[in-house]
Amino acid sequence: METNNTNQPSVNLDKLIGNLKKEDALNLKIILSVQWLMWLVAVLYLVMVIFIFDFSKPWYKPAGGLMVMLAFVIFAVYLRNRYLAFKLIDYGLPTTEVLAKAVKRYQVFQWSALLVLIPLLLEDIGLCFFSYDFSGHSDPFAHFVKWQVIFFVIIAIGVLIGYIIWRIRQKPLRDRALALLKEIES
Amino acid sequence: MKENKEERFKDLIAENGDRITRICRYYNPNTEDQKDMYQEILVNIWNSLDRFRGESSVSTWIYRIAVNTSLSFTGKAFRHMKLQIHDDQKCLTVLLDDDELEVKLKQEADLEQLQTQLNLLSVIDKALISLLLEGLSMREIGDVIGLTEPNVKVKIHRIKEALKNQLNGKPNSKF
Repeated sequence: METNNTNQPSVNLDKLIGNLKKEDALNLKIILSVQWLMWLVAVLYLVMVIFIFDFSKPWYKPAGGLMVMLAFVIFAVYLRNRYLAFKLIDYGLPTTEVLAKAVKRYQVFQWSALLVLIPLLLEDIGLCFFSYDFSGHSDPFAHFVKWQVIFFVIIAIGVLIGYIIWRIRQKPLRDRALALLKEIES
Repeated sequence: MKENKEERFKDLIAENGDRITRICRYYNPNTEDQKDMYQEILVNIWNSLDRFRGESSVSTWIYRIAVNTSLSFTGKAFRHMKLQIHDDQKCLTVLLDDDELEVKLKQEADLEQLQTQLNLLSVIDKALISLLLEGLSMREIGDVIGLTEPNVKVKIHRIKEALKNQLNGKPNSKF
């Protein structure tokens, strides 16, 4: 079906629908792939925990593995929800609502982002336990401090990269949506 | 369900294609940009179709998508967005409800002047004017934009006054 009415731009509707369906399928694939990847890592950690579980050793190591596994599961759910929130923008709402949602979606700090602290904390403690040498020669406190410094640096780099991406790509969108919203409501 | 969506989509486009085209024409001077925007609106209709529950009329929903897309679509040329009016535009007189101005409208030069003034409007005012030119009532415009009817009336009145002053050569602080 071609909408090549003299008044309408010539768009091949069947081709467009085909592409849209492909995109829908690709989105679904991405969501499923991310989920599967996270579940795979979680199962991998579970297997590692089962294999390294040794009653003669303290509980730290398997507990660490379980924490990392749990962190991945929470991350998987969180990422899926974030992806859907970005992907499923409803353009059929009134303009003021669409703009208000865009402002909220693109603000640098999201209250929902605090949920990430839970898996981060689990991962921090889990990896700290998991990487500890139980031979009894290393100082647990020194290991803890060293691990916290490494973890903090990694997280700080991640936050910095995220902030730069937001500043370049999302802040202009937020500013524009905010300006339009103010203008409508003035 | 998917096939159902495809059928609904095709029906919507068949029924509202002209409406979408006109919105695209308001905002884009050249056919290539009109085509891009038309396609972008179709994509957004497809993506929002599953969430359309019929709370508003189909035409209001289509206008919402068209206006919201135009606001985001014009990101690439946001500041240069042109509101195109055409001399065959049936509702043009709604902008100029003054006898003296209606006479002026008959002249091509004045139409050009009107277009120039319209393009000095802010992007939101342009969106309001495009809906007014489409023949929507104040309440319908309010439903599309998300404003109350009195608020829309005030805004439209302000725009009309500003246009009138500009066309009469009076200075206007708004511009």
